[in-house]
Amino acid sequence: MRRGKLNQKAILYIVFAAIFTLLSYFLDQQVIQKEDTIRDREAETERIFRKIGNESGNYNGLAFFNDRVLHLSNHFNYFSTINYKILLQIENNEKVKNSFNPKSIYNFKYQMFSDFISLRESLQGLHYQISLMPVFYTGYENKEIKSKINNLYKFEDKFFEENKERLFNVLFEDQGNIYDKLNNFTKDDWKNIYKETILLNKTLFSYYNSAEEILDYIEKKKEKLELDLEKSIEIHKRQKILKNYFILSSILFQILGLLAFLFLFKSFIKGKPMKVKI
Amino acid sequence: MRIIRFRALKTFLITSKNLRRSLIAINIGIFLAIFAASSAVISLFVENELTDYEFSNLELRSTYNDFNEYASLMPAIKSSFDRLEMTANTVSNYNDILAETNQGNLIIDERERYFYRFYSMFYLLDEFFTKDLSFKTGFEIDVNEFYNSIDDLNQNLIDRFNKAEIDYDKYKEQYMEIKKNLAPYDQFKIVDPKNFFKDQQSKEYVKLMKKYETFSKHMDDNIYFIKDYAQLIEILMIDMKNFLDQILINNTNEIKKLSNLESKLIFFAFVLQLFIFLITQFFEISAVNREEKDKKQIRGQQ
Repeated sequence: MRRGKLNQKAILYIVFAAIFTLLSYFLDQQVIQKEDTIRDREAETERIFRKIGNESGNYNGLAFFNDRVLHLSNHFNYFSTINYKILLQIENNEKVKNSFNPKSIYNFKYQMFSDFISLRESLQGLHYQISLMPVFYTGYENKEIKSKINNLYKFEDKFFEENKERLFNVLFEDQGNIYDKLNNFTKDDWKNIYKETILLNKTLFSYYNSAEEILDYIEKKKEKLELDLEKSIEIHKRQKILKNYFILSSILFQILGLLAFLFLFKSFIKGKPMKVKI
Repeated sequence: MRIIRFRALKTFLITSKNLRRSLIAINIGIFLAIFAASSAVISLFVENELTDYEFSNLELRSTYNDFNEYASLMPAIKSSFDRLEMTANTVSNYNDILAETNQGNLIIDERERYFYRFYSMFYLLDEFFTKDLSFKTGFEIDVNEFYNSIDDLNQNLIDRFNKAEIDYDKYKEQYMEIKKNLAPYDQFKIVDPKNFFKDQQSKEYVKLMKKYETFSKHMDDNIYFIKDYAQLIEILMIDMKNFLDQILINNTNEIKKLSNLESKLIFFAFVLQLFIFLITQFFEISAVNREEKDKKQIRGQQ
């Protein structure tokens, strides 16, 4: 069997070609692996982007909602004492009583009564509306915050339930009868309505503060997510640059391997004849 | 097992008939390989530059969204202040009408005039003063530097920003001072009806309500200032957003430019290498021809 013996230069070219080809294969594999990690990183970056968007939505939604709560509370606060003060003056001061006709006295009573009812209904409405908002379903991992969100605008309806038949059914049964009914309310009834309205408003305002705490939590969460996004983008960028290096280095090594072969062939043509062992 | 049979290949390559063709083919191969290698190196550097711009755009997108969000929040905040002012003024008018009736002074006092008015404004302003919303430290924006760096420099606007920056600190300090002095009177305190009017005439009550009158007037000033300040924040956010928009457009243009540059560089490298190849080819083929001629001459002489 005859074997061709290659000169040193030719062997060197072959060794180079082999090394470059191996390097090229190695880098190709690195590209494939990097591709997976980049895909994961892309998904992660997208997830953080989406989460930031969701948290922004939750923040804005709750902030506007809370702004509405504050305006509501302010409204009830403005009229929390004045009507009761007028009623007390009417009861105790003949001169004040004579300043108003029966219809206007009824109006003050009706305002007090309806403030209590609408404050109660506002709280019920707010609880229902918050339960439809995305922030309610986000499922925050902080248990305290989660419970605060779930319990927003819940209130004890004890006074209403206890006096439903005697004081409040008039509203639902016979609208025309309100005038007489309100005039039949006792001093204590008005005192209780005054007190309960303020207590309900206090409850409403306490939820304004709870919502502010939730907003602070969401804001911190958003800030953390923004930092995560920054980091994720940085890692993504580094991985992509590394992948570029791998791809182009792999191409470069393939070319160098090819060049080594071409130089080998050229050495066949131009170099000294190879010794052939027989 | 040998994959390439070098001896057979060598025989084929150096056969005198194939020699020149082989040499040209190999040289073209070398030329193309070097060209491909140089293209790869050019691409490597340009691609990395492109990646930098692409990721810079990605980062800017997030900041852009923040500015956009802030800019879109401000009209809602201003309308909330308008709503507050409207309610406060309506109540104030209602109180004025009642106060003008016979015995009106027994019904309307400082509590009705200022106490609730103060609280309604106080909590709405809270976020503006408990958080740092100053341009320099809160938003971390040097307004002077920013407006000096953009083309349409508006000195009046810069002056307005500078004044607002100083005023913000002043109003914030005032607000925090009021906040410190608020306790112990609670806006939801239930007054016992027995003491309702007795309390109203006590010195302490009158003094307390006088305090709320002062506080409430401060809040009126604060609201007036904050509405203007919110307007300035909105202007700044829109300008910053437009500025970022310009950077994003510039980056996109840079990406396009770099892509074009890459093609041009590769083409230039091709032309240059082709030129070098043709010259070397000319000399190499001439040398091989001369060598062959010499060999033939030697063989003829022999």
